[in-house]
Amino acid sequence: MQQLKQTHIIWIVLTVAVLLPLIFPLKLPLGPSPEGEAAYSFIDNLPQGSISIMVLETAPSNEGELWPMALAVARHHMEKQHRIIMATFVPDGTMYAEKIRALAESDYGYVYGKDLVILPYRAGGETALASMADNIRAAYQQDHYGTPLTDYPLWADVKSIKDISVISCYTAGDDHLWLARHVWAKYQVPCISGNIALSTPEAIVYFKNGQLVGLISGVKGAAFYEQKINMPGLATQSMDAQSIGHLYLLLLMIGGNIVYWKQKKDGKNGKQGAKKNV
Amino acid sequence: MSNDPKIWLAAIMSLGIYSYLFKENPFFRVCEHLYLGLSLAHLAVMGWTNVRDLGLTPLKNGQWSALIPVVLGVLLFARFIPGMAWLSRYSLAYLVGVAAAVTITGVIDAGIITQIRGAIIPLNSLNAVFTLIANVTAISVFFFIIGSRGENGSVLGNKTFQKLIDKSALVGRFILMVSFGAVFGTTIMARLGLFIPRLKFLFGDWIHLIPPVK
Amino acid sequence: MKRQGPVLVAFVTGVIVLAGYFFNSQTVVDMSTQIVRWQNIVAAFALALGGVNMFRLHGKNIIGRKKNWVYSCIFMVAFVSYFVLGVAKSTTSAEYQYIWQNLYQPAASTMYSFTLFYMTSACWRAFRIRNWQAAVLMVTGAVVLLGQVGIGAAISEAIPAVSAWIIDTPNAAAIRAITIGGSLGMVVMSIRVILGLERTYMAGRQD
Repeated sequence: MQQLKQTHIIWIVLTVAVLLPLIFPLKLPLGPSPEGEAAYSFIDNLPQGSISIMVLETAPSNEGELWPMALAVARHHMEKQHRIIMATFVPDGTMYAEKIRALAESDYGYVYGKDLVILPYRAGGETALASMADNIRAAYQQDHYGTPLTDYPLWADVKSIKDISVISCYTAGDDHLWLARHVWAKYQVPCISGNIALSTPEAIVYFKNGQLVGLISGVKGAAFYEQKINMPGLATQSMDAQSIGHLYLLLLMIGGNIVYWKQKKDGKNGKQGAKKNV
Repeated sequence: MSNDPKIWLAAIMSLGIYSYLFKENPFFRVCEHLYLGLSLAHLAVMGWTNVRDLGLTPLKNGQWSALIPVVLGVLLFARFIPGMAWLSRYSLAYLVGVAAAVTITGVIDAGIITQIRGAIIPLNSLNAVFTLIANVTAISVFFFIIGSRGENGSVLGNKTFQKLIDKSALVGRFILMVSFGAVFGTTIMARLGLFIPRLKFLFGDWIHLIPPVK
Repeated sequence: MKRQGPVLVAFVTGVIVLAGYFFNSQTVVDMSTQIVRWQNIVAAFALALGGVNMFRLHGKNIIGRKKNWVYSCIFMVAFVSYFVLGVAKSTTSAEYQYIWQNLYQPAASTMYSFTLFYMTSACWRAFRIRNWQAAVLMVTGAVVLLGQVGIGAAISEAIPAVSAWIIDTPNAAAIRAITIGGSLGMVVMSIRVILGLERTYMAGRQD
């Protein structure tokens, strides 16, 4: 019971510590992100009308990190008047694609079919992505709404994956590896990965090797991107709370170890004392 | 506080799930089973749309080759029928065979050749020298064959070379620990990234305590 | 038939897909592309497996009036009604999206955010410096933890710089080693699967 109470106190303090900077922002500095900068520059330098594919592997389980960055990159594409194709290999992805479509139509005057298309969900993960890369026109005949893709002017300009200027993915899984394997290695189409912070230590290697032209990493990467396009949003708002959360968990680790070492020392002293008494 | 019934519905679901943190209770279990039902139904619906668009519609249009994957897909469910479960092995074999081949086609270049090429850099700075040492020592941690021992406990291969590998692997282990530390740090960041949006929803969209963003 | 047949299927499909990649024959490439595309359909069937399994489990609970069968009823109502809605009116319908947005999405996000709480408890109770490896892990973890966010830069400009160096240099070297080792393992395992030497995917059933 004592253990349970201590756990609850730890959790309540965590909630309050993270909540306070959301209510009262601290406006802490964000710091650089060279890989995020590379992603921004690449997209920024694409000419108007370029076709990009956004692979939305976003789901409720990871939307806290991936949705802000997908939104920021989509806005950037729209600002630069690029044409966007959205694809997904997770069942929830099309829900987020529809949100981007709504934003594109309301805020940027995009016309569905001409400037933007949503491809249907495809099961199979890596194999489905490989299938798209190998023959995109064979892999997709209809859009998400069941309309033949040949009805859309945008699709007329997509003969193969090589007609795509950049493919970006927003993933909590291995999509950045799949892109490196099946898109970059086979067809040399530039790829950008937007991934959860947890994948950064792995994805950074692919960026350094040149297999990814840019990397947007977790909430920090999303916040960095939001600031680059001058549209601070969901991720920027979260960064102060992230700071305090990190600090709190670090203090818990240090505190836990101090208690551990003290207990260990007391235990040793106790044993020595017991021996002396004997 | 929000007047929108949609926000209230979402808030009730969130609170129901969070109530588990206090202790398991009926409110949580109702929300849990509701969530489970919806999520599995959503998966099934998305699967159905794929089967309909890629399998059944082509069949209806006379593309008989689509019968092969449809039959293989149906056979997956044979695992629920006693005595016929072995039939699902055909579907699994197909899935595994294709996945294995697709893996080979992608991994050799992206996972091996490009990685080795990426490790070879000009030694024009202290950092580059360190990178080389880190690369070599980290790889040596995975030299299991050289490090293995014979039946009588003797080291297989040259002893001096073996000692060198052992020392290199020790440094490599240090490098790996540094990497795992980085993974640990980013893991915490990722987990906070899941929690903060829920707080923003409950204390922002619902209670209006957190100022909204565009 | 029960064991050799599936091995033959894995072999034939694997070899055709590989041949499509390595040989420049249009017929082989077309066959390979077709086989890979069919995989989408079979994988789509697999998505329903979990649902069917849970349907059976909760169905048995309800029929047998087992403990907590009322919760099984909730599962059934949610599963069946949402599935019927999705099939009958499509996932793009307003009703389907309403439920996804206001019931499924908040529940799923909340469920996954649980992990932070258990990680917080682990920070207090489990992460102990017992040896030099743990010390290295914790120190680098702490630097990366602070370096990734603004508070690190607010404490010292050096923290984000060191954090970036850790991720870019020693971490990259370690990940590269793991990637090379893992990739070699994946290739070997894939070859074993195609050649029928690796048959663990058939395990678990006696008949």
